[in-house]
Amino acid sequence: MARYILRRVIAVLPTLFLITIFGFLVMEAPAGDYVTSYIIRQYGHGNTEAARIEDEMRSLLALDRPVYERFVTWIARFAQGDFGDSFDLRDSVRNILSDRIGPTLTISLATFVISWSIGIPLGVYSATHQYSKADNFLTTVTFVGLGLPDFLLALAFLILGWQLTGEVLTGLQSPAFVNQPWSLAMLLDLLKHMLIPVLAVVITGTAWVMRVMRGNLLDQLGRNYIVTLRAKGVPERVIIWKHAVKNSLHPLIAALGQTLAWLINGFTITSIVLELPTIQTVYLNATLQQDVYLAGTILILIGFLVLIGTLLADIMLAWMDPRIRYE
Amino acid sequence: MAAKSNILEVSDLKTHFFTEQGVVPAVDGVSFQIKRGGTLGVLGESGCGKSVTGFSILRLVRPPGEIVAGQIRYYGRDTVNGDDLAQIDATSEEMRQMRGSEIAMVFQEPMTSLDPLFTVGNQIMEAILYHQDVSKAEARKIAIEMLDKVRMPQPREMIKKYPHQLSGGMRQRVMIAMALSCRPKLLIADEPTTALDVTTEAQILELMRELQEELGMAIMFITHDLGVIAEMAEEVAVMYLGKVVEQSDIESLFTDPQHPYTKALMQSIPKVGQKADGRLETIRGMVPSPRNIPTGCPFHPRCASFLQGICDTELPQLKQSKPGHWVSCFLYEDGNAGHSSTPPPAPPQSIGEG
Amino acid sequence: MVATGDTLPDSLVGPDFDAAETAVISVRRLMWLRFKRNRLALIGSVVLVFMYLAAIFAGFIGPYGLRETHEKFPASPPLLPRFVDEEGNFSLRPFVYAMESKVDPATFKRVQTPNTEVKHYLHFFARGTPYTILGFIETDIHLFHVYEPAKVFLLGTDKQGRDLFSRIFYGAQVSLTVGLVGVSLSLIFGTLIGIAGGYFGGLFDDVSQRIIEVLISFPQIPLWLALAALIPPTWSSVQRFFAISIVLSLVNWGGLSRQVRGMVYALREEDYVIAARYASASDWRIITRHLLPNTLSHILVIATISIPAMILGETALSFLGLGIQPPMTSWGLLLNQAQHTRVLIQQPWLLTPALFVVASIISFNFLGDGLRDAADPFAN
Repeated sequence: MARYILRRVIAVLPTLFLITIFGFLVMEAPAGDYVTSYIIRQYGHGNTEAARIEDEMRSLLALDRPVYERFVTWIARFAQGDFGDSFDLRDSVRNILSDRIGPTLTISLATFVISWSIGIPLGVYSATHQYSKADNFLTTVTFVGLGLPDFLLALAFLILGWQLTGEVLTGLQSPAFVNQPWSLAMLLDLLKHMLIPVLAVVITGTAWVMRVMRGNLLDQLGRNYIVTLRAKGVPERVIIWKHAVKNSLHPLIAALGQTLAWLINGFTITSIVLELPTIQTVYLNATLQQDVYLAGTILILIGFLVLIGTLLADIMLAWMDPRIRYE
Repeated sequence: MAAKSNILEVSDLKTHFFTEQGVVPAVDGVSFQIKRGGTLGVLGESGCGKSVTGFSILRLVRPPGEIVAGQIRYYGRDTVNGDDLAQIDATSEEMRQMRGSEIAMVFQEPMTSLDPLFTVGNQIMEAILYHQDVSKAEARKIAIEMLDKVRMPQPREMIKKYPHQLSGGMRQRVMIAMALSCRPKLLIADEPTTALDVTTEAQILELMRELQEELGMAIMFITHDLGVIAEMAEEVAVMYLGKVVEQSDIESLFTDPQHPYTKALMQSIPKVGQKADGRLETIRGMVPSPRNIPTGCPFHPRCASFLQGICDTELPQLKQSKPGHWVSCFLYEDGNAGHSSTPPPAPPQSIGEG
Repeated sequence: MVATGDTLPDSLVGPDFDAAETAVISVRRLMWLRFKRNRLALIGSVVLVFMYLAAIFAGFIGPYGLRETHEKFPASPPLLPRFVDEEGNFSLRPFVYAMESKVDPATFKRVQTPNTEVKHYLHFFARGTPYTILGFIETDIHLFHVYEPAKVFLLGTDKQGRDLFSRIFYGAQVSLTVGLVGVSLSLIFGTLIGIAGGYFGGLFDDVSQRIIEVLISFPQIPLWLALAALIPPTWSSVQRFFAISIVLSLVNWGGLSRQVRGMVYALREEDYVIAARYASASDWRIITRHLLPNTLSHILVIATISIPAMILGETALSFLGLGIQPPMTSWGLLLNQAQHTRVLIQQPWLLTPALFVVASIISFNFLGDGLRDAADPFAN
């Protein structure tokens, strides 16, 4: 087992390195740099003076150094956990991210837990009642759910929320609670604000989990070992929950990396639309402004996260599945 | 009244599959008996309905398949007239209790018939725990005993193994151990050796015979292999397209096959001592589609002794042609002498003696 | 006696009962039967046919042109045809009242009030703004039209006073094709690289697998954003359209390629491919005669399934202002104005293009599912 993990970790390392190069290059690739985009924006605001300090600014931000040199300096610090500074927010990338990691994780985790805990039982029900009315209904709902883009749903919920409560439920807190100590009212306010983003993303997520679970379980229920279990007189309930479900959870666990990707995807545009204080919101601005270290770090960390998620899934599978464990 | 001599009597069993493309009469009026402690061989090609017959007895046929007619009388329990398994709800607790403890089954594919995520010990114990009132430790003991009985080396170690760590022959031993762990009175063996190599096959067959003797159970042995039938069975039922076309004791079947289909099967097998330059006989034509079964005798389009106007219009019934030998063929029915245009029934040939 | 171990000859071994039996119908027909049985897939394909027709005949369906502005009607709520007039009289032929702009003496704001004196009937198949169909058929016939000064805005207007209903169908031209172009590109990339990698293996396979691994490590949307930011802002809107297609397919081809590679890898060991190799068939022949035909239906299914993600990608990018640029429009770009919460709350009709996005994605999902069932007609 330990050898298996070690082997997998070693296999992932070159990909991690490639992700780092790729992430940095993608952010560096657009024509111009942060200074150019800054000047254009200043110009847009009617400030024509900014162009004069162009060179000065560039050397101050070390943007006049060649790309490879900046990459090497940055990557060396990156390895030590220092991700550089954001040009635009005038803060270290580390601080910016640590401010936002809490809200990001909270809504992602809530979404994950809810969609799995609804999706799995519904998927099992659907598969064990294949072609029944309930199954047909659930399958159709799943399809519709998969077709609802989260950010558009968020917008629709926003309008609905406004019509119901008269409040514009953007962000995660009402202005009255900002910088206040924790209280029950504040918690309720937070939950109210979380409802829209979580609901918007949960719908697709639940649909996805349900669909995968139904498909896997149907596949498992058609296997020979199920017939053996029936033939030896094991109750159907046990056959489904002890044997078939356990076997069909594997593809779901194997898709842990995909799940993380889905959570990150789901909250990217939804965050922007709902002005949530998440990492994804900073990412878009940083990308547009060519704030390379901030945008690059986020993109690279996202890539790492998905890759490590896949790795963890593999290890969990090996732990659960004797066929891989004893390979 | 003494216990009945048969453990199972199937009469006029019909199991049909209601598919989108039409009804498939996989089993269409099958009758046979299995004696207590005896072995019935069910012989037929793939698709003749022999496996579905086995599944029907255990009530494992699932929608779109359904038992539409017939009786499956089981005399293993102490009920006076036996139980008609065809009448018991397939999903009932009563039927679940029967499976594994009264009637057990061994399947064709040992490689896929075990749950890959549980140890073989766990899976054998599961069978025991659902039928016997024993503790986990006792169930474990029984599992080890059973593995020992099926000649697994180091059974104490073996129960900790996962299915993928065992070879096909080993897994089939596990399947047999599992099936026999509750001492069933009838074992349905559905081509248990088809997926195994010849040496392993011989060992498994030997093992099954020994265990049958020791435990006194009856076996319904489903196979397409004439050699295996010859080795295992006392009685043989030959199936073709969902029907039993001939049934007799093994001796009579091999020395005096009566149904043209059985005869053709016997002739299509190379025999020791046959002239090397002679061509091997085959049965002409193809097995018809089960959705499109010929009228009359289903074998008539391929039959060498086809009687125009009879075989293609009427359905022959299974009748006794000589003591202990039943055949469903017009050649052996009375009153066919009038058809002077048809050739007389071919004299019974002896096979394999020369 | 009969020798032990003899089995029935092969000619006797027929198909199993429980496998779907196809002796009587061809595979193609079975595929069609399977597809037809899937009601949702049929509905999906009908909806899509209508959507694509609507996109082609956008000019005909919409009463106004793509860039036609109505200065007096910025951010106007829907002005719907009516059947019942102010006095309660029913008219079978729909009509509208012309709107008159007045300054409210109390608030000094401009308000639109209907002039109920004159009914302006809707004219069907009437002449209006000229347009072209498929770029070469010039005409000015519209499905319906109302003459000045009356206006008909089924879905309201945007802040520049452009009719949303008409623009949605022009937007469909972009939104519904960007996915197809993107999928075709990733189909070409993905299939070529997948087949080459799966069949030949070796260094090429290793390198391409590594690249794909890196690509699919990134969640799609952040990567789309990063790549879309690469498109020079000076490009024309047609150039941008193709650039966006390329961006979408760059992120997408890896997954497709992996699946193709997997299939080819498995097929390579199939008896008939080995037989072909022993028969000295060239690699080209094996690939084109054996591997491609056997993977084609699956490849097409995978492609269909990935179209929704592409439509979504275009919508998301354009919604954020990173995708399609005016003078072209797309559903995402139409939704761009709805991005600001306050605007959206006052003009909720700006969200209607979302219904079209959702309908097209769901229809493609239905279609893909039906095709997948059909492509594997022997599966249960």
